[in-house]
Amino acid sequence: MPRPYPKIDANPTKRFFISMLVRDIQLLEALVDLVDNSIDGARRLRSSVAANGSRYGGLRIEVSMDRDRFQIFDNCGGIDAKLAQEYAFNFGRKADFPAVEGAVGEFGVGMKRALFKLGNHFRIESTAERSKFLIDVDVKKWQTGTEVPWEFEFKEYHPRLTRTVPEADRFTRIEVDQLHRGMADQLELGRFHNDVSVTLGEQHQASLDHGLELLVNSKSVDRRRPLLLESLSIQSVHKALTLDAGDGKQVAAELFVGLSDTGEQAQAGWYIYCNDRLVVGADKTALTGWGRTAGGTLPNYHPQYRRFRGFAFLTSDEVGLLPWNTTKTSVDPNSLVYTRLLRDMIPSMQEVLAQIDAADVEMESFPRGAGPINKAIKEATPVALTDIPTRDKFVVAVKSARGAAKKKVSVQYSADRDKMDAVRESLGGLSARQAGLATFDYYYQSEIE
Amino acid sequence: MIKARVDYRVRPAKHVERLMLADGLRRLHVFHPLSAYRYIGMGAQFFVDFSMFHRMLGINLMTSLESDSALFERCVFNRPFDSVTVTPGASWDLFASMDFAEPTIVWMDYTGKLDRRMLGDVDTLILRLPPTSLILVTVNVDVDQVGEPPIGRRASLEERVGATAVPHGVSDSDLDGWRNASVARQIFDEQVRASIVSRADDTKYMQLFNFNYRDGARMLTVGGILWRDEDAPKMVLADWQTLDAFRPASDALSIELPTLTMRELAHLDKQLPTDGSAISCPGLNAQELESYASFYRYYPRYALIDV
Repeated sequence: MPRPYPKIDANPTKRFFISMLVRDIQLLEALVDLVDNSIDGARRLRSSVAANGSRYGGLRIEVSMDRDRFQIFDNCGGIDAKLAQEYAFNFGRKADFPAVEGAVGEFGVGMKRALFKLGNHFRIESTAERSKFLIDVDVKKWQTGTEVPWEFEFKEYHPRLTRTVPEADRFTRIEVDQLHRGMADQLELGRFHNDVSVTLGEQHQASLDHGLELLVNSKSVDRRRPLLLESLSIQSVHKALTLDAGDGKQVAAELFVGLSDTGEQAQAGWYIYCNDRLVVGADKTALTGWGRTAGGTLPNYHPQYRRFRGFAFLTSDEVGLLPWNTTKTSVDPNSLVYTRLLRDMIPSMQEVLAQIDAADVEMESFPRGAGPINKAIKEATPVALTDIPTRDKFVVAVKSARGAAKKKVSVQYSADRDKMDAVRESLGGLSARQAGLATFDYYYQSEIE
Repeated sequence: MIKARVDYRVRPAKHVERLMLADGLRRLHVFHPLSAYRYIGMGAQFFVDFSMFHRMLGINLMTSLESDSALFERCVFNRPFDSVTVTPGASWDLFASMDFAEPTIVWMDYTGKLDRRMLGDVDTLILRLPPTSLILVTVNVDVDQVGEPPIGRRASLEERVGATAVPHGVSDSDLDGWRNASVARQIFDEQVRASIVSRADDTKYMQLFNFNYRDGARMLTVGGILWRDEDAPKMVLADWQTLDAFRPASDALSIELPTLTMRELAHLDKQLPTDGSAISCPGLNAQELESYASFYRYYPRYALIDV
């Protein structure tokens, strides 16, 4: 019988594991991951909408940070000690993890990854309905320990309290200090605080709408509600869909497509939410159909489309069915659910882009925006998505200006260049041709009409 | 057509600001002889700051950025000294490729409201300027008129500077009156600090100046110095806190000047400087007296001369 070869120790070192774990996540993403966990707590605690309509009333999440420490506190029900022991602080979540209805934090790695990313010492304290615990980890010391399997030790652990803790006394507090140098530099910056606030306001606007209070360094985060233009003549798309997720399972989706009142480039594009959490924002790439050549042709994003906005909300109690990636920064374009969703996104997008093109063509004849489509856009008001009734098609109900186009006469004239330049400038940088039309329009409107 | 342009020579508050700045810039000699500094400004056709800094401080190497192509020829003609060069173009097109070998004083004396491109300038400069350089920004801080009731000020600010540049927690009501200037200062300051971090060296920034004044419009001038650990002893030597204009934080120096006659000026000057005891002049109230006492060294003396 041959002598067995020696075995290779394939256990990764903790240090190596940590460095791999934190490498793929940005600081901002790591922080919003922690907020996701708190919001899951809120969902667990308030699984249905209260009679007064405020699902998360009285619940709050407070994030605070400076050069020396990061802290997140929530009163969203606490983490059950047993759950913490078996799942939350386990490395990689076990398959039998009990599902949280509509949860955001699917992957058990999120919290640990964020903590390791931030610093060398963390402390987690939580009181839940019938349990409480405290974990305190000195990462440098922990890294050198060789226990298998890897463990965090509880400093306090009471898995079965004899009394029920009142809701108001349940909480989770996570603190990290001995921050890594690069993290401390960022956590100190006002710019970074703004970034966190804007990101959370966008990502969790629906939860904020439901009465959740979210504070960053003691100041409230404003919800950044998506809005679309509506009026009697402009009607945005609002579709309610059920998407096939395979294995007889389904994901609910809502789609809103239309125009924005602001033409801010940075905000143009598609927004995709999974369980009310923004995953893709202001996307202008092939991921959301731009520049697609097969199965519904679409143009590439171009600044003329800066008013375009599309919002897709995917919801499922089984978070595994949602097409997001582990860092919740994108969707998997190959997943069945997303492919189905895209099939509904594309035609609506085509309708809206066609109207933007038409508005652009119209500007050729009415450079000051006096044409019917541009006028309709100017007169429409931005409304919250929840106020948009269900509609399959994007509608711009205006009388076509084409009839007028038939009875046209061409005018040509020469003007002093300096004067024309001044006129063009005062009209906001129009071309000479447009300026000619605009001044004619101006005369017509003030003297003839 | 004659285009109305502001005559920057006779703006009293601006004049006081320039003199107070010159007082501060003089202290830069603890780092280098002032003749080793380069001055970059926006002198238009008047070059008031250029003349002043050359005469008072002995700064030779001077560059004026001129974005108005219609004005360029006049600007070149009006160069007050041979060592002043006029570079055509907007700051945001020029800073990225400029050579910042010498310690530099940059005064981005904009006339418009703070926007993305200006913050881009700040970013470029903070990343590229050598330590012991000084950066100054002037912007219009008039309140945005967005209709009645005035909601949407934050939204219009976000459109100008970008959502994440607006300080977390700022609401429409914070963007009123001089508080609007305070927010603009904070946006500038947060940009400076974020850009410093991306330098990834030991460079630090200390704000030295924070002026509020009216120049027709409400205006803000804010700025400070870049320094490194090795400059610490000289930072002490510069003794910044003894400057009249030293304002290291959000608290601004508000330049408000009483309009006084020559006789009143002479009468008051005889009582100044004061060790804290009250000065007096018939018919002037306490606020006017106090304001004059704080600015009398810089108070402009204009006279209309019939030649």
